[in-house]
Amino acid sequence: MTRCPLTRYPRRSVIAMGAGLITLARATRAVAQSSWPTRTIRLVAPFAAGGGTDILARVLSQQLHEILHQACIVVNIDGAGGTVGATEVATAAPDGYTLLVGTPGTIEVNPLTHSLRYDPQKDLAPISLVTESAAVLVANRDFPPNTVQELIAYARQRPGEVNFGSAGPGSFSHISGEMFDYLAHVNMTHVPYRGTSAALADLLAGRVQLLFENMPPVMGDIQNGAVKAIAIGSATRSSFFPKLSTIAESGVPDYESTSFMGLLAPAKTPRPIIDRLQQAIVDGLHDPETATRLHALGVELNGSTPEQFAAFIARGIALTAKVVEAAHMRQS
Amino acid sequence: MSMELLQHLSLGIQVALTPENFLFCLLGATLGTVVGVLPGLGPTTTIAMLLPLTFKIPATSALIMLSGIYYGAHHAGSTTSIMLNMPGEPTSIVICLDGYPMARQGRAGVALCIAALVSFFAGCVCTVAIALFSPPLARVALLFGPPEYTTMILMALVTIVVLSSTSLVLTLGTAVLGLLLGTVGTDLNTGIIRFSFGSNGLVDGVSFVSLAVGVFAFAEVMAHIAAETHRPAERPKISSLIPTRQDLARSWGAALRGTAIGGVLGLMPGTGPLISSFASYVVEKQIAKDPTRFGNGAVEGVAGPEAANNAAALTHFIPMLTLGIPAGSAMALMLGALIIQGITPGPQVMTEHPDLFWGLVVSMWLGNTMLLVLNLPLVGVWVRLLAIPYRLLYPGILMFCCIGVYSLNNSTFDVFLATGFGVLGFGLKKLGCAPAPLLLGLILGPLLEENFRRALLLSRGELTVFIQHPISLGFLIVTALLPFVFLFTSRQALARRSHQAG
Repeated sequence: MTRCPLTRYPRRSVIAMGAGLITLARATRAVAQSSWPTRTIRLVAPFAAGGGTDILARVLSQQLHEILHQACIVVNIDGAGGTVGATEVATAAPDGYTLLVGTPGTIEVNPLTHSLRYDPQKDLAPISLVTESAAVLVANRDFPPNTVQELIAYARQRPGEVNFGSAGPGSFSHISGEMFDYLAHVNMTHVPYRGTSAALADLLAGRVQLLFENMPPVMGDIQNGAVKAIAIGSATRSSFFPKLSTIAESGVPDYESTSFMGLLAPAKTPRPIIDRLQQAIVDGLHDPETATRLHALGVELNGSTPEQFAAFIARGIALTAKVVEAAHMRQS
Repeated sequence: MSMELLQHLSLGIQVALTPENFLFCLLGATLGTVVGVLPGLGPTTTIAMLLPLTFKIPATSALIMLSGIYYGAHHAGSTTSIMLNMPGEPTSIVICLDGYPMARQGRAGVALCIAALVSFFAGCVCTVAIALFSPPLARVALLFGPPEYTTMILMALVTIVVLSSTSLVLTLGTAVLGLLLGTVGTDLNTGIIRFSFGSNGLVDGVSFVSLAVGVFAFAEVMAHIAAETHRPAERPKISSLIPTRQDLARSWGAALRGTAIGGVLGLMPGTGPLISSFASYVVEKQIAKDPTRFGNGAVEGVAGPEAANNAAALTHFIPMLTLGIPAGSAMALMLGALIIQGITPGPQVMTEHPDLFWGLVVSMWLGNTMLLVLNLPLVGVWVRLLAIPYRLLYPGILMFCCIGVYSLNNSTFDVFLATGFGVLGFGLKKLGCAPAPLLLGLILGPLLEENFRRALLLSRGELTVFIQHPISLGFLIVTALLPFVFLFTSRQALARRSHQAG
């Protein structure tokens, strides 16, 4: 007869022992949390080195390193439009040492267009929305329309004739353009490029007439007049170009497209670690030098709470889902 | 005008010769040399890692250092191509074709010297070109649209057959295999994933570095081990380090032509140094009196492409500095370093930040001089690489290759992929196929498809777009003529050989 080893002990002492173990485990976890971080924190950037968000992530990592007194490195895990890196974080140990640099692609778009192994709202815990950058509708200098109203009239007279470039299928610029098509009831042709700079080159040359891109890559060209800014895609006007009206106020009321960079952790990461990271981000954004650097890149600083970030994500996913549906972007 | 230029240059000299900037330039060039020599490890990763460090230094110093890494890597990438038949950078694949045979003939030192000298030459010429012609040259970049890229790539693919000295069938076969490998991955137009077999590692296509390291480095090591089982591998003797008068005479013209080709092709943000280096090789082989020397250690086969790739690496800066269009991710990072410091790239950089622009131009010349001073004495050191016993050298190479492949994307899959391609490369070697067409097929195939489909998307399906654009039409005509030129020259060579024999 095999005996369960526990039956050798009186039941009450077993319960007591169990309770003791739980207390012990809690205590060690508390110790672990209070001493977190004890080793290198990896910020997984799910794209290749060199992109706009990569640079933002590096500014952030530098700041976290100084505030948390612990090495904080950006690890580029590129692949499948960010899916590879995001999946790695979603399945990583929830110990606060593996974090995801989240962008619209990995959090809002890919989960809607492809069948993935992670659910951005279930498998990832938002920490903070770090920066936001509104979509800007920019046009070639010689393109006749100057306002959203003129553009809508122009495009309706010429269905399929106006081209908008993008950084590739499913990219932020693609979604922002399709969102305009869908909400303004126009039909423009999407021309995908491999990355923003190739699309921008053809915009300058006039091969595509429009680009809905987030502020950082186009800010310089707007400032020096190489391209014409028509409107901004955020809900409110941008601090960079306060005179530029929003697409929403120009006759497409529901339009809102804002790119972002936020930090997320694996879902079960202990709340104290999340709070500590969120506080570090807020402190980092208050550093005047960091703020200047980030501002120079064309982004607005946010530093939200985890709850605000979660609500932001939910709103973004809801609108993106409609666009994905309307533009038939879902891959079986 | 010339007075103004002199003022600009003296400002540039003042900026570039401050002790800090001089040191940053030296640091960049040295780092570039190191990452250039190590296969797999490239300038992009290095620049990305160093980017946060540049926040705290002035923009000009940062750009001087980062660009030093960039052109330094292009400068040094040929070293391992020549010594070990393993390209340190993709741009130096073509150098393997004649550089390695030269090393096997004991002329490694000569090849390295020539490579260093022509790199310096191309660097100087292109620095002057940047100083004199940046704004007008920038406009050339915008002339190239999807139809022009399509027909240029088509022309490049057709010229691949001229590249190889082995049989036409084998070359075509390996090039087509490369094209087929290029179809793996996400389709740019629809986002549909092709031939990934459910593997995340293949969703973005076959990693170019994996293929290059596999078919060159791994296959080379395997071939040596296979050969050593029945006889000890013969060690190339080092006859001389100094190029002869004949070497210099042959390299001179090749370097000039290579610089011109590279300087022009470098202006196109989409193509870059790789196409320029092999375009130069094809030109040299076509105009050579005896094309059969190519593939067997022709010094022009090193001088031309090496000049072209360095020229292109420098003129690549023109679209970035004047239009703000980065050519590749390394350039994008440099652009980011500037923007972070509040400098908006564009035509106004030259007027608003003359110290930055002219300081960079002078530092490029300075950096190229440093690279020459750095590389020439190193020739003796590199040549001694061959004296390391293979049982120590090869494990070392394998280790560095694995680190390089892994570091690119933190992906073990890419390392396994490289191993698989090593086996493929070994098989190809046994069949007598050159691996270069395979790599060019993999790179050019997706570019061709992308630009072809984009051209048709923009023309709403009108195929005539390719003959309506004059530049595109020009490329098409050259492409159509190439096979005849190829037939004609090879006939001539045959006739001359039979004439000599008879």
